[in-house]
Amino acid sequence: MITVGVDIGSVTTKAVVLVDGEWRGASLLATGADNRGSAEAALVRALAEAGVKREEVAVIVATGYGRINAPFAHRQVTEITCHGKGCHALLPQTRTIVDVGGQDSKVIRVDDRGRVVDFVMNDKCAAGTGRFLEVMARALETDLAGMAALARRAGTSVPISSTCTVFAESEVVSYVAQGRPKEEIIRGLHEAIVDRLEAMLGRVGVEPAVAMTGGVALNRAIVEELSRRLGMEVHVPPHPQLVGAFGAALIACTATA
Amino acid sequence: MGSAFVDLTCSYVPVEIIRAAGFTPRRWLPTPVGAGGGLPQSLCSYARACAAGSGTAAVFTTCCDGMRRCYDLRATRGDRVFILDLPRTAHDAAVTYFARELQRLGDWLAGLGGQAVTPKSLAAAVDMESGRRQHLLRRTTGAARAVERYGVYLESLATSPYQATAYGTDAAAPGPGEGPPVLVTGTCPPDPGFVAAVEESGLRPAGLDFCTVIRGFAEPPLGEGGDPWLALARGYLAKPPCPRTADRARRRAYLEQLLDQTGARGVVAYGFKFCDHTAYDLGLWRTVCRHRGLPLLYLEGEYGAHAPGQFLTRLHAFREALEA
Repeated sequence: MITVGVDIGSVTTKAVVLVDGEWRGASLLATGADNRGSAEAALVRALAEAGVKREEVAVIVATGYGRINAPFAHRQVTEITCHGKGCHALLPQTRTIVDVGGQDSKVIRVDDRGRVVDFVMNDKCAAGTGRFLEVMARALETDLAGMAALARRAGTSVPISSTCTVFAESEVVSYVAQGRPKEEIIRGLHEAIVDRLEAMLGRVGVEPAVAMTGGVALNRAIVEELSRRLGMEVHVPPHPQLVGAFGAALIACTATA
Repeated sequence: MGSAFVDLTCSYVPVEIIRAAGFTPRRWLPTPVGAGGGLPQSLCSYARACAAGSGTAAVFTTCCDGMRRCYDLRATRGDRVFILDLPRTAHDAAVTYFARELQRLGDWLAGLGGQAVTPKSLAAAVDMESGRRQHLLRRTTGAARAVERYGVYLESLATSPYQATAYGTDAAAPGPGEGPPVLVTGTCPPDPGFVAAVEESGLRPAGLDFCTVIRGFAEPPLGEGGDPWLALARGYLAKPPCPRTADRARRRAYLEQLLDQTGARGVVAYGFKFCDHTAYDLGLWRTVCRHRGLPLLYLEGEYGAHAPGQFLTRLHAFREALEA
């Protein structure tokens, strides 16, 4: 049975193809302004990578904030459920998932079968999300890859607001004007994101093991700081930004077209 | 004078007294004001909307700090407003005190140009309101969808241009949900949009616990004979307890009863930002849900803001978790 999960996020659209539950292909591309177009393109690319024809696909499940914009999908499932399912399949010991995407962040508690027990979600503002890091990288004339390296190099940090991207950017500009080293500012920004995540974790409670998904999980400085705060290792599955699409494809395995 | 409205902002204001004075009581759900209204933005959006005023006489209660500030502001402006000191318990001393407060309300209404409230006019008003409640009960019993039931409740509370528009918009929202039954509780949504969103997500609102629903329409047990003011005070304080009541055991028993009656498999709680009582009640809900092994979804919004897409994702995820 061939199934596909398509995760239409605010920044990137992802697709994962499974053949009898085994990962065969994936794609990741920018969502842009055309949700439907990017969903279609992600599907086509993932099928091509898997070497699968479209008519061979049994079930497609769409997820992500743009999930209603995938007319080819047989079913829509929220990204909360999909991340729970996908992360549990990759790291079965996981009970707490921290998912930080481009536009929102979530903390999801799952049981020993990957079923969602509780969740909390921040999608009211960009604070503590990938967008926050993007805005700050631009303000500091660096890129996302460089941000993590610079943060890890800093010996200390400057305090940054954890509640608003606009205020935080203004703080960054002030620190730059004061001549504070870029590394310290970037470290402060990373700590602000972790402050936010820690507050969300406090609302649903932390049960080990903890895993992190979403594009921001590729940032080692964030993962290390969160691990330090929690006093336990935060695990990152392979291809953390594809976990939602993978979970959707797994759910498709049990769904009917 | 008989058709003049008197606005009220709390279901613990006895509408019978307003009727007996010759006015028409109206549970006021004003047009949202966003950042306006004259009160700080750190107060709840319902209080801010009420502070904007409508030109109509209004009765506030000391139910929360937001309403007290609302009264202060409008009194300073010279609006025709009254504040009823509302006890948080139903003990005998509280009943006696509340009865005196109700008499003070009657005097104020007479001073507004209304009729003097007498035992006879009060008895007639009690009968009239009882009839309205029975009529409402019959109408809501016939409504299959929660959004329709809530629409009927709101319609019977009052009609304002804002509310009329809201009914027209939201009553047509897709539904109904036939999924897992949930109890929907929290602060009073001024239109059926939130309830419609719950249904749209596939959840089935088996019970609604807002002060604009059954808490607001429960028949106060007035009893026979005796001092009518004391009977009204006792009856209103004995109504289903709302989140502001200090008797937490009674509130908890009420919540447990609601869960038993509805067979809810989860609770969706809705509150306005900066609503102290929602935060207060949420702790109790968490305790009750944990004790019963039920999941709880808390959603926070602004008074009058129609359920945004973010709510839908949370509601859908909650339904998926209940169905897993």
